[in-house]
Formats: sequence, C-alpha cells, structure tokens
Amino acid sequence: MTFTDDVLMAYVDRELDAQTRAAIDAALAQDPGLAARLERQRKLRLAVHAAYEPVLAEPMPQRLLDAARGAAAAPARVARRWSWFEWSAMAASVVVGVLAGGVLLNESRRVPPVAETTADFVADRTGMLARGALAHALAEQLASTQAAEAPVRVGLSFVSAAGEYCRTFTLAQDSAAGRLGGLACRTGEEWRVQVVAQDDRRGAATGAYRMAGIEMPSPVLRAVEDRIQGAALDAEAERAAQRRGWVR
Amino acid sequence: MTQAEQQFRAELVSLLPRLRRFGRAITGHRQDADDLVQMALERALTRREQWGAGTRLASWLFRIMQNLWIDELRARSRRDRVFAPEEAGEHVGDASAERQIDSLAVRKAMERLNDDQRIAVGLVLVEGLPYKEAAAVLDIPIGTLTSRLARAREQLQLLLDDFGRAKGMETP
Repeated sequence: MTFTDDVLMAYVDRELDAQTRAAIDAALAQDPGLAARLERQRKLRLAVHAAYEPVLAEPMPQRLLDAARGAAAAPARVARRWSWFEWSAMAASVVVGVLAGGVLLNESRRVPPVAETTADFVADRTGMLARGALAHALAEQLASTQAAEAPVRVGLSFVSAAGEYCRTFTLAQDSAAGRLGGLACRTGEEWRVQVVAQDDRRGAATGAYRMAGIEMPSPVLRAVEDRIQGAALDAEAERAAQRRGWVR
Repeated sequence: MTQAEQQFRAELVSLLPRLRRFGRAITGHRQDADDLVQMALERALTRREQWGAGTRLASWLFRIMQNLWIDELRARSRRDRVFAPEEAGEHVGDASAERQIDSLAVRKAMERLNDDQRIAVGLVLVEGLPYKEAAAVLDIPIGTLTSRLARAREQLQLLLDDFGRAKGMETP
C-alpha cells in the first residue's frame, strides 16, 4: 500500500484517523522508503517549530504588557511607526544598499576588514569614529544633491533623542563584497559610527528581500528607529543643519 | 472594571508569548511582529463582544493578527515601500550554534513562502493548531488549508535542501 505525502503530513500533524494511522505503523516495519519519507516530514515539522520556539523566552516588551491590560499610553503609536519609513523614504528619495540578511557589526565587535582597507573608520576606546571619505561625506554631502555614483551616499538625516544629528550612509565596495550600510551621529567634533551592517550579495541576487523604495540593512533601520526623535529631516532642514556644521 | 474584563485581560497577558511567536512566524520581523501584536490586542479589547464563546481566545487573536497583517501587506505593496526582513545576524534565545544556524535557515525559507502558506504554517506547525481550528481561523475549508500546508512544506524542504547544499551541511 502506498501513502501520499499529504497522508504522511497528516500523520506527523496527528490528524489521521486511527485506522490509517495503524496502517502506516504496520507498513513502516516492511518499508524503509516509507520510514525515510515519514522521518523527513517529522524533521521538517520539528525544525519549523524549533525555529520559533525561542521567541517564547524573550523578554516581554512593556508596551505589549500595557496593551494587553488596556493601559497602552498611545494606541496610535503603531500606525505612526509603520508610516515612518514611507515618509522618510520620500524625504530622502535615495536608494541605499540592498537589504538582505545583513551581518551586524557594531562597535563592540571587530571593525570589518573592508573598513580597514578604505580607512573610513578608526576605533578608539569608546567605539568607532568616521574618517576619510566617510567623515567628509557625513559633514558635507546632502542627500538631495549627491551623485548617484558617489563612493559614500548619505541617506536619512535626523535628530536623535540624545539631541544629536545622525545620518545613515552606505559605502560602495568592490562588487563581490556588497555594500556596507551604517549610521553615524555627530558628537562634539566627531561622527561616531553607531552601527555598520553588510548586506548579503547572494541573497540580494535572488531578489528574495529586494523591494522597491529605500533599502538598508535592517540592523541599521533598527538603530535609526531606536534613536530618532520625530521625523527625518527634509531637504531644507538637512541643508540648514549642514550649514551650521551639524551643531544644534 | 468588571471581573470578566479583568479575567479577559489576564488571559491576553498569558497569551502574549505565543502571539509574539505567531507574529514572528508570519512577519519574519521582530518589530513588525510586536507592532502587530499590539494592534491586535487593542482591537481585541475594543471588540471583546465579537469573541465567540466557541472559539479559543488564542485562535481569535490569531485571526485578528492575520487579518491585520494581510491588510498591512496590501497597504505596503500599494505604497511600494520598505519591507525589512529579520536580519541574518540576529539570533533569538541561546540555543546551540548548530541549532541557531538551522533555525536561521528555516526562518529564511519561511520568508520565501507566499503569505497564505506562511500563515498556514504559522498556525499549524509553529502554533500547533489542529487543522479544524486553523481552517476556522482563516475561514477556509480544511481541504484548502491542507493543500496550502502541503505546498508550503514541499517548498520549505526544497529551500532547506538548497541551503544545506550551499553550506555543505545537513538539513532537516
């Protein structure tokens, strides 16, 4: 007796009637092929379940506890956050990087090799600082007027909750390595690099994550979200901030 | 607040970890998942009278979440805007390194499924709902649910085999 994949699937999902289940159990002993197919279904089910299991143990954000208790401070907050990318994408009107499974490299880890060769960053005791072409672009370049093929492209500029100007950027590299995207904030005289993430060229080639609009490695988007106060600067505000030397 | 309301909110709190897990499975992204949970909770609290007595609270919340997510995806494609997948560098929990790599491959493969398939997998494989309940959540016949599940699994298996070959490691 042969069993379809649909039946085996129902078997591992414990959805089979007792009779069919017993028939499979009986056939398993004589049919190594059937046993292998069943094992494959079982492994897949376990792997999918296991992939999300750790979410249960993650610390619960206070805002969700508040929402469940009907004590959410601002119900509109979600809608606002979801529309933020859209607005800033228009404001910046720039495509930065290609997002895919980005590799997060922040100041607590090693500086990426590519950054060492182009000397765009230096590390000090407290983190990474922008240097060279990156520092120059952060200070001078405007998203609204920069060249499409500029080696450093500036994305969003905004004021952080700490009251500093912050700007996202992408660095062109040799094509094999993909692009680096990052976020830097102006602290005193320095542009302090908050996060750098590299996109995954292979993932990008499949088009799996590529969507139209502004594209940045998601660790960078998250770093922006964590810091931004209000909306991103529009072209006029960006120009004004640049004229003031990014001092508020 | 009445005692029934208090009870209802306490049950929502106890469901939170599962709601987040389901959200993660269908959105593939932590922030989106948590936003989705928050919106679903707000909706559940304002429309409590719509919760049918024959439905488990978790299933009712899953239904609200998947409706909200489908709406959001439609809005996103209309607005042609950013979609941020969960970053590859992110690992949840503290499972072994090998487990993490397998899990990452699964989550990446899930992102490749179409929305209907991913939601079906989220309900049945991730959340463990019986076919009957999952079909009720989605308001579709059981046969439609099982064919989505079957196609989704074939697709997942192919993708995981591909990832496995690319990385030279064994996959489920």
